[in-house]
Amino acid sequence: MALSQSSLEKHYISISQKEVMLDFLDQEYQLSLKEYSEASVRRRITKMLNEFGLDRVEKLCEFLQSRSDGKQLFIEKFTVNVTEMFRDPHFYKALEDKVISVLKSRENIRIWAAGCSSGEEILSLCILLYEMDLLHKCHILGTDLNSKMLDEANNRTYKTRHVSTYMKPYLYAGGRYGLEKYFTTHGENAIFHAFLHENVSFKEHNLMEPLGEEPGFDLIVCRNVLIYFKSTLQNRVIAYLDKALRAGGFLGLGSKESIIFYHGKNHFKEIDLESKIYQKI
Amino acid sequence: MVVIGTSAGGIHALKIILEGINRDFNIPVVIVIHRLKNVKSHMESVLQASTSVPIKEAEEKEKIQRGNIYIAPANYHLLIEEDGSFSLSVDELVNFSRPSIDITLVSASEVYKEKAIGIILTGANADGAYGLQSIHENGGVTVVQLPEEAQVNTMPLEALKAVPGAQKLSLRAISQFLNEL
Ligand SMILES: C[S@@+](CC[C@H](N)C(=O)[O-])C[C@H]1O[C@@H](n2cnc3c(N)ncnc32)[C@H](O)[C@@H]1O
Repeated sequence: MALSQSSLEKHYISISQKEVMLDFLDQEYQLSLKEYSEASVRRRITKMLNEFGLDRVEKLCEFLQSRSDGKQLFIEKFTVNVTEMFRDPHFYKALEDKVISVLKSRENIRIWAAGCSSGEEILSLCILLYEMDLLHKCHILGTDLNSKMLDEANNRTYKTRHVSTYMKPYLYAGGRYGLEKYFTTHGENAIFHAFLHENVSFKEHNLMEPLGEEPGFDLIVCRNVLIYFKSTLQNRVIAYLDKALRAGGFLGLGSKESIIFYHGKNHFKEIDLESKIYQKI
Repeated sequence: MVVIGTSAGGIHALKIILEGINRDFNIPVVIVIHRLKNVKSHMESVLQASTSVPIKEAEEKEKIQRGNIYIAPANYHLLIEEDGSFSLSVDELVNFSRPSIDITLVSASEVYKEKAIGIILTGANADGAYGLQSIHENGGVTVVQLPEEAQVNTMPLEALKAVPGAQKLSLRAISQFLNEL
């Protein structure tokens, strides 16, 4: 049996060391992680120390400073990018039944996937929309803090052994055909067809700031990103999402996330409790 | 703060422990049990049948309260914040598991130090051993189910390898131990 990843961790960061690191990131890179969930921050930085073989955060700061891509490198290692296609199939089912079916009569549909990581979520949306014969009139924007993930998303290329685990969720989500229809296999890679991305664009963006695109989105999907934020930051980020939505637009969050920390929660009505889908009134 | 970690055979073992705890049991308990992905299980109600102490799923950024027994949700790692609230993460599986017992034990040990109590029960892998060591190193109390009593003894044995000084108790003795906290 493989050794647990954690049992290999020799160097550990204490709560006070974490503060040193956060001050550094704030001053050097104007990257404020003070409102990220602390336990997860410590976990990620501990992981980084061990990966780079450094025993203290001060050394990690020096190391990052010595590199021209220090900020980029830090973000790559720090962010949790684990994602899947059709994560929580019931979410996609509810989107189809309760959201897309409402939006379909519109001339065009604008969608923002915030914190889209390597793009599996966007591809899932594209497939759903394609099967509803709506993809051609959608514009989908994918954003993430980690630009390396956006490059991966753009490539539409995933490991076949991962893709094979998405077959069932695709069907549970209401998929009408077989997932094979949407990719070709090259060795160990599955490359998804380009037509799926015809109306998709990607942009690097930090959710702690406003998007700077025209507001009026019909649907914003922001899943499994808010869990990494303290409730104060969750509140601020949801306020930006709220601003970017048009009245009547929809917001879909991760299955354990909600708008309860948002001061403007009464701008929304709950459309699907289990799938955390809300509609802006 | 008590963290109980278990896997194969865990439901049965937990039911025995819960049946033995006092109704006014008042220390927060977090249960991390491996479960199948994408299977909707009714863990709370199954366990609730064994005790009148309220059992609920741990929610994102929920403040941990006395008098509650929390269960880690399926498919997320469960971490404890410095202010005593929960937070969730979907990062990589650890020991093939999410939730991972190690992750919750480590974060409990960092926040609660000598006030953290880690308990490892029956299970078929090594998850929890590293976390129990972290509880021990931070001055907390460590307990392992008697391996000869465990339905699957791998997890207790791995935990004892990591923390040889952990108390070895039967399930009934674990209830007793909790009642006396
Ligand atoms: C766990 S992934 C979620 C991916 C996908 N939405 C899903 O549910 O499967 C979280 C993503 O949020 C991104 N992220 C973290 N902090 C961010 C921020 N401040 N602004 C934008 N994206 C952020 C990470 O880079 C990561 O790709």
